[in-house]
Amino acid sequence: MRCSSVKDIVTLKEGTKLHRGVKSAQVLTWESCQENNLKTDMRVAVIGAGVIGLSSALCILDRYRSSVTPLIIEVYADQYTPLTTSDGAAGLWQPYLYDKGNVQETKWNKETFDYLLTYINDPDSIKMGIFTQSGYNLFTEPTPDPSWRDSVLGFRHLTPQELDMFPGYSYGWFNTALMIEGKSYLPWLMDRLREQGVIFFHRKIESFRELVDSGVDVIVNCTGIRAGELQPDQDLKPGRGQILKVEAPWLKHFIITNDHKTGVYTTPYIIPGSRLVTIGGIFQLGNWSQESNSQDHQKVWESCSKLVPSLKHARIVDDWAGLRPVRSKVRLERETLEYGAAKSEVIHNYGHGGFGLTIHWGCAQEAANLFGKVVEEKRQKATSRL
Amino acid sequence: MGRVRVAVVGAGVVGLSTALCIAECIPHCSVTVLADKFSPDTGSDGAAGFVYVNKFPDTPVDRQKRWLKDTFDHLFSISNSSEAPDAGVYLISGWQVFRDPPSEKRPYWSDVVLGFRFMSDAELEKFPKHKFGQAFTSLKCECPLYLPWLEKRFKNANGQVQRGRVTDFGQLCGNYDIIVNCTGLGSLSLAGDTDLHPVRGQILKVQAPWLKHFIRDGDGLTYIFPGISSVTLGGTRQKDDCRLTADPKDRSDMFERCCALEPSLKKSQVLTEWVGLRPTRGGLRLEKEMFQHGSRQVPIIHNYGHGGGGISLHWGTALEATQLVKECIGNRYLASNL
Repeated sequence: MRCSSVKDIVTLKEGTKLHRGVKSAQVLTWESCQENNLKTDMRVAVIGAGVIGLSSALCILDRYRSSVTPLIIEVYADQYTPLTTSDGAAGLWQPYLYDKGNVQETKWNKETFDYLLTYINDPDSIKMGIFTQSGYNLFTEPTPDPSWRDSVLGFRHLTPQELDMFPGYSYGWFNTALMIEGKSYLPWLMDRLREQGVIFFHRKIESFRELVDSGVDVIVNCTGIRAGELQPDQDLKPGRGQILKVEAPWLKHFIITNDHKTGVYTTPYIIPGSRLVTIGGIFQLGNWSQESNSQDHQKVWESCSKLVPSLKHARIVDDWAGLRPVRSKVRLERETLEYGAAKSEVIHNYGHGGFGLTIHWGCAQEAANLFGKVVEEKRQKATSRL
Repeated sequence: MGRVRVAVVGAGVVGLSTALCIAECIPHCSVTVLADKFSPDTGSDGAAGFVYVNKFPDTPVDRQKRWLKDTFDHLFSISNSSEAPDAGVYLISGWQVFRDPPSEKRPYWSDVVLGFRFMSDAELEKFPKHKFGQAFTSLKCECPLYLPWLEKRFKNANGQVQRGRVTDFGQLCGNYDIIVNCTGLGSLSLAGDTDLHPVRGQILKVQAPWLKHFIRDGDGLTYIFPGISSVTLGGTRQKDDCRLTADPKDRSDMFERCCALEPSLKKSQVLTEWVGLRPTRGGLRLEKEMFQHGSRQVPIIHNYGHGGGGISLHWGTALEATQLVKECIGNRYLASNL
């Protein structure tokens, strides 16, 4: 029975006999396991501190801190808020229009919406970056309802008078959704983690092996677009986006245009935030550049001003480019890694495209489920050794 | 016949819009706005500017609906143009919630606003004390921006503006052919109108830029209207109360009521507060009266008594007042040609 760290807090039962030669620390751990039905200790390393990494860490901690003692969680990342991809995103909860049979992702999206909604009357909601916003999805032709129509609030089709506001668009939806702003949410997640003793390392992990060799039991791989650097993944590609942040506080609705031919995020969108309005409409598959360029800047500015003429008066405050970690589906699964005698379980949780914030909590819960299975297997092994 | 000289008394939202309407629609008029108070000191300036109006008991519903629709259409086209931020006009969606379902679930204005529907059970969960609600999209029109915007347009149409207090219509009869009375509560003395009375409204402005929806309690007393640079919280409806200074008890009471509807407001920063007196009347007075001044008879078009619906009805009543002015000019022409 390995004693993981001096952080162990155990109460010695009265009358416990210490075996000669056995260190008392080891015995304490053993005793506590005896008392508490074979508690397992675990050292978990989460790689990545975007919304996926931080929420996975929090979910695992919340669900297993009482049954896994000690549960040591360490976060490793070279980028923290406000420099992650999650920070640049506008923060509107909205999945892609259709799940194409991927019902699991629809389920995770809905779980995230329902979870965030429970905070909506909490006075700390704005500290978390959560608030409601309603708005429009526009189309140039009649379109079947999206897979998320029952997840959002008040979903309906647009009336002719509403469509008059958007020349060139003949069909659309209106609904109330949630905003979840990374720049507030990520610091909030880190506070919750810090409160529970999670340690953050500002360090780039060069290989899974370095963590496995150091004795980590479980690695949670939340490395987003750079997952390929740790393990090649042909399915993972950058979906480059560029956005402008403007001052337009008279805008109170999100407006998303959609083009089935060119695909998601390729046509103008306008998403008011808590302070600034994000405007965008760029999706370049395979483009690794994280620099803003003037061509995309012009395209976004012109197309969004055409959609909403009042934007002509808006002051541009920021210009940012980010890489959506695009994949045919989210990679959320276990893998066992062995390097000689050293062995660790890896829970992969990456490839969330442009819907990381939208799906994060459902995925974090599933990552915690997978973690639970690892714990269970470890316990069974321990039991079978007795 | 020479130029018709029109005096519009009052420079709140009703006065300026009526003056603009006349100047733009009737070419051979020279229009002058006379008032002692201009933006940002008018009764219109502190109002949230949400387009929504309660029924006037003494005005036929179809007439009120026409005023509301004309105003909505006018503001709607501004909101879709590049003028929107200058004019302070924009769309806003939200909810009106009722503790008990009202007798009239679908009010007369439900097809004037956009996307009117009843709230779903899931939506009502945000308001645990309320059992019924309406969701819709309406407009906001912020007078500290809108009034200067109207005035600029008015001057571009050769309108004149004169500062000064009018205490008697007789003062104007020597220099003007038609008088348009848009003095709101000023008509208490100016028109000796005993049907008119103030209804005091106190509001609070807070910093809460994450709020994007309006929330209005169907009782009309508690409301939250996000604006361009602040959120308006309200309010009060105190009949015949003329106090223009803010009451700390009213302030803490309305803040508490608003926080109950929207808990995140507890984290908002208070900016300012304001008190306005709604010029209330059983029926909105929009009609012609012949004023006897010595041997002359001067027509007065009254356009006042909008209560809390000044912004919501202004353009519709301006159009109707302009029509009445046109009729006066027509009659005058006929008279001068007999």
